Amino acid sequence: MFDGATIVKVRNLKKHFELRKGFLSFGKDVAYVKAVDGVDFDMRSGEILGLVGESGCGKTTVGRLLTRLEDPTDGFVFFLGRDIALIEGQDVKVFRRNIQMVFQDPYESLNPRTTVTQTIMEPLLNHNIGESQEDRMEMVVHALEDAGLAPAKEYLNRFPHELSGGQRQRVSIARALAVKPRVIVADEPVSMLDVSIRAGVLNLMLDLRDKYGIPYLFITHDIAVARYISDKLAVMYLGRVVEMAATDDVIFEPKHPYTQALLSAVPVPDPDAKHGRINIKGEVPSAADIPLGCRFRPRCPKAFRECGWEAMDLVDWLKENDHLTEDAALGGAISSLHPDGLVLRLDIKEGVDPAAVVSTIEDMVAKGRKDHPILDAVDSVDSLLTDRLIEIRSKPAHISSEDLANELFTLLESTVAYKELDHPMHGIIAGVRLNGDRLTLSVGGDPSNIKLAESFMVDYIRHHKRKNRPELKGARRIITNEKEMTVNVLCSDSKEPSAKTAEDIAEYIENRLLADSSSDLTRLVLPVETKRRKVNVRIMGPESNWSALSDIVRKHLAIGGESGESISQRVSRISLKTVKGGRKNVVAVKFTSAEEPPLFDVGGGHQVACYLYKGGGARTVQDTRSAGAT
Amino acid sequence: MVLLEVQDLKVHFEIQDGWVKAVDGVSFSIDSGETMGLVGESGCGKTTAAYAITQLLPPNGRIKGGRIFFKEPARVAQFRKEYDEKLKTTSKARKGEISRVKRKLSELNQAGRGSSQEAEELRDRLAALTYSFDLLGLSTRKDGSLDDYNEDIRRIRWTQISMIFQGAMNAFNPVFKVGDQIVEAITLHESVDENAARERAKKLFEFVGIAPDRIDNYPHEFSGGMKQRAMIALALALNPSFIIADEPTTALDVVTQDRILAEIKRLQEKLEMAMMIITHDVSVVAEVSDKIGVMYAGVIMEIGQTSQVFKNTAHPYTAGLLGSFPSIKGEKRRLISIPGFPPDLVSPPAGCPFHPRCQYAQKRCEEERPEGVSVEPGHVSYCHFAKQLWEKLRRNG
Ligand SMILES: Nc1ncnc2c1ncn2[C@@H]1O[C@H](COP(=O)(O)OP(=O)(O)O)[C@@H](O)[C@H]1O
Ligand SMILES: Nc1ncnc2c1ncn2[C@@H]1O[C@H](COP(=O)(O)OP(=O)(O)O)[C@@H](O)[C@H]1O
Ligand code: SF4
Ligand code: SF4
Ligand SMILES: [Mg+2]
Ligand SMILES: [Mg+2]
Repeated sequence: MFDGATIVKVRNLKKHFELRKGFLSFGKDVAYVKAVDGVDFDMRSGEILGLVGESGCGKTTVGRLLTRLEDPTDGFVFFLGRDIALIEGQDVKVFRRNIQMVFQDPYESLNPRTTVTQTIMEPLLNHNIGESQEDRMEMVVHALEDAGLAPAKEYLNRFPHELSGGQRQRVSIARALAVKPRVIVADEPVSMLDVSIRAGVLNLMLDLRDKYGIPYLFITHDIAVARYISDKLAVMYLGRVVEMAATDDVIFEPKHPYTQALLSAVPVPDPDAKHGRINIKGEVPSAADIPLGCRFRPRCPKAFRECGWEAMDLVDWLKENDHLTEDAALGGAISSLHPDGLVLRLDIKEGVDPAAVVSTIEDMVAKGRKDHPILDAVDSVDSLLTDRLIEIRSKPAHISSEDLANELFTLLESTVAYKELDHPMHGIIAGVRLNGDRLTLSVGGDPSNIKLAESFMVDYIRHHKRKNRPELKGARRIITNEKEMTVNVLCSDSKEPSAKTAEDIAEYIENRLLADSSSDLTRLVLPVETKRRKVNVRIMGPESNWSALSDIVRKHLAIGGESGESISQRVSRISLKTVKGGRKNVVAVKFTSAEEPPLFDVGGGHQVACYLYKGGGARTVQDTRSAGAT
Repeated sequence: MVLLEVQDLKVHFEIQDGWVKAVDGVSFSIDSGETMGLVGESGCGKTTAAYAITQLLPPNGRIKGGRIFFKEPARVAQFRKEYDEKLKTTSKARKGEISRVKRKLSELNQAGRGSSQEAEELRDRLAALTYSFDLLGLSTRKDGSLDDYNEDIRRIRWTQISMIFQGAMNAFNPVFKVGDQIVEAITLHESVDENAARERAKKLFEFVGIAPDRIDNYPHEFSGGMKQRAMIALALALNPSFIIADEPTTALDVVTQDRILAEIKRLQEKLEMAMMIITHDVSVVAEVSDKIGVMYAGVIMEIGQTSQVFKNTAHPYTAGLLGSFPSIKGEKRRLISIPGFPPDLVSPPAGCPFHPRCQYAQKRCEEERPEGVSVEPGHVSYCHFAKQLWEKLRRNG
């Protein structure tokens, strides 16, 4: 157990809570709180991983996902190689025993009407641990003494209210340990405790780790506590891990601009400590409205061109730099501003020539590009004919058996990393082949592995069918061939839910246009929108662009490609539309879209989700604005 | 100059099982412009001590003794101390002295010399003899409860002493705009019109780092940190000379906490204002206080300049408290935990209240409440063995 083997693996974990808006709000009537939005980490035996971050950044939700108190929206938690979402039946109980939780509030997590003995005995009985009652009693005593409540007999018959806060938390720890779990998730276990008692509980947790080698996920908002207890630290910001490394590497060499600011804000119990404060702007944005590109960008003192800017940033910048006052060239010409994702729409005053506004902005951008990364990130500026759009209507898609097999193949290849050494299916699945409407898994090793591979596929398909791929109901026949050591999934024709079709078309056409270098026009295309079964494509510039774009769109949808064929089948009509109700004078500014920065390895397992570290070492940024250290 | 002097303050709460001795003999003083940190674990009596100063006790709270002198002129304080040496608080001798001073004063008045230096001195003597700058004397009823409607106190509260409450997040009424609540506080206490008050509210917002146009927002439109800043603005609205901040950053995240602490430091530099910051977090006091009082079980254990208490620790409890705080600076060392847990204040331990948890406790500690031992100028430890332990604690701490 001390070998540092991976016990828990978390990959691209997401939890989006649905947030119902008032029924009067127009447009999208559901929004999502993206509490956890793509988290990766590993837990190894004997290792304490500290998960830190400000309140609301998603720490508790990560803990709840790990213990299956919450189902992920996307992504995976592997426990000893098994995808925990696929654990069912009797195995759930075993799983629950193996991952124990210690909560923040020992007052709430203990039943006020049960004695200490009953509290610790209950999970033992529940999981059929121990041969006899005496045996279990011995375990209770042992667990209590392990948790520093010695002699145990003094505590056995007490009720929670007869214990101090620290003692209650020790009982919670004893209860968690009594069942000999493989992992402990501790969510702010010392935050409610008095300071003089905190140290004792922290030391206890350290000692027990040393004794049993059980890895902890130690969740806390207190960075000093996290530093004290953890071997490794993961810093979360707005639903994502932005930096992760050995604890003192994070503490003494923080790399991510957010971590640097966060650490500079931690007060130190020493009046002589010098305080190098790094200021960051504003406050944490809402998890229901996460910035595009790098989610820390709006507050980042080091943000540069590639960080993924959006319309809202430009509005702030224009305001801060006094371009919106009545007597400014721009402010005087426009009547209102409408930031929407990557595009800023500026409504022009009556009588003002849009072309003049376009050139004012173009000048501003050309002049300021060097000094302001936000201007540097502007992709295009042009007039926008608001009443012109290209409408693509979708029709419910029939999915041929081949396409379904293909879809399943892609899904499997992108979510099951069986080629990696520590993946549970490694060696069992030796390879996957696509053959028409048939998916063939070749199974390696012992013939008994066939059964494993088969049940894996059954679970896998069932899970995804339920979750977000109802069309997988067409993949129901699974045939094993023991002689050839294969498991085959035979797909039949299926139907895709119509809601998804438009989104698929939108995504397809957007990607196509982005990749299309045959025309300059594609740079002027606004982000594609979907409305139920319709896909709307808009373009900036003069009217001629509109019909030219329509030809390009038609070309892509007609040419198709490997998956394009199925896309064109889902299109019922492409039309040029003129929206009634007249045309407004509008100028649009569009930004290049950027992906969210992934975790880059800067050496020694130190990972940072920031473009400054793309390709390893720290990037020297042309832009020399300081970090704002004071 | 001393602005506030708290002398042997005792505040108890009546409950079913008896009395909670929340504050049981606490003394300290704060100079104008000085910031004192009052630090200790939860339940040790910090908030209660603060409430006694602002004279806002819960209904079951009783003043069981002590005095709180506020803005007492230096000469009065000096006379008072001289008299206190000579006379007992309620002795016949004091009464005799009072009537003697009064007689002399009326003689001077009759002789038309009521504004002479001599008369001034007599007035100061009279104020000293009658403790007329003692806030508690003004408002304490016979049974120890406070008269919340006492006019003198109501004039002082908010205008001279204001408070940033623990959990300030909820201090604003949710149905009124934040700005209006500040404007109301100003117009209630000062004769300024609403427009002038509004302008001042905007300035205050700006001062604490909130955009002035947000005074028309409702409390729910503010984040936790902004509410806390607005609360500071409210506390500053009437230019008080003393502010008590009770756990001003406890519910906040570090980034916000850091901003508020920076704000507090700026206040200290810009305005000549005295502050008392109450917190359980020694890192917070280390950051903003000139001096520190460490409280435990209703009494002060150690008091001194911040660096004295941190670097020349002279009390075993302080040493324990400091040793149990992890830090992000320096080498990682094993935290020292104090055994046991804080006592119940209905029946606190006799003698030194820390003795059941103290590794240095002797027989004497169980019986005798320690007096203050001055270990260096301005640095007092309430431990029988402060002098002997000092060297050792200093090395450990
Ligand atoms: N059940 C839920 N429904 C809706 N939103 C939730 C729910 N649980 C948590 N959230 C939101 O998710 C975000 C992350 O919450 P949480 O995981 O508790 O953060 P932390 O533990 O870091 O403080 C917050 O914005 C929170 O309001
Ligand atoms: N109204 C009250 N009635 C009874 N006990 C009280 C009351 N208010 C506070 N106490 C008790 O007085 C003690 C000191 O409380 P408090 O001054 O709030 O401590 P601190 O601010 O240091 O946490 C605690 O034991 C608390 O339970
Ligand atoms: S990628 Fe790095 S530099 Fe860019 S905004 Fe994000 S944290 Fe700042
Ligand atoms: S007086 Fe005695 S019990 Fe109290 S702190 Fe000093 S040595 Fe310890
Ligand atoms: Mg939490
Ligand atoms: Mg308090």
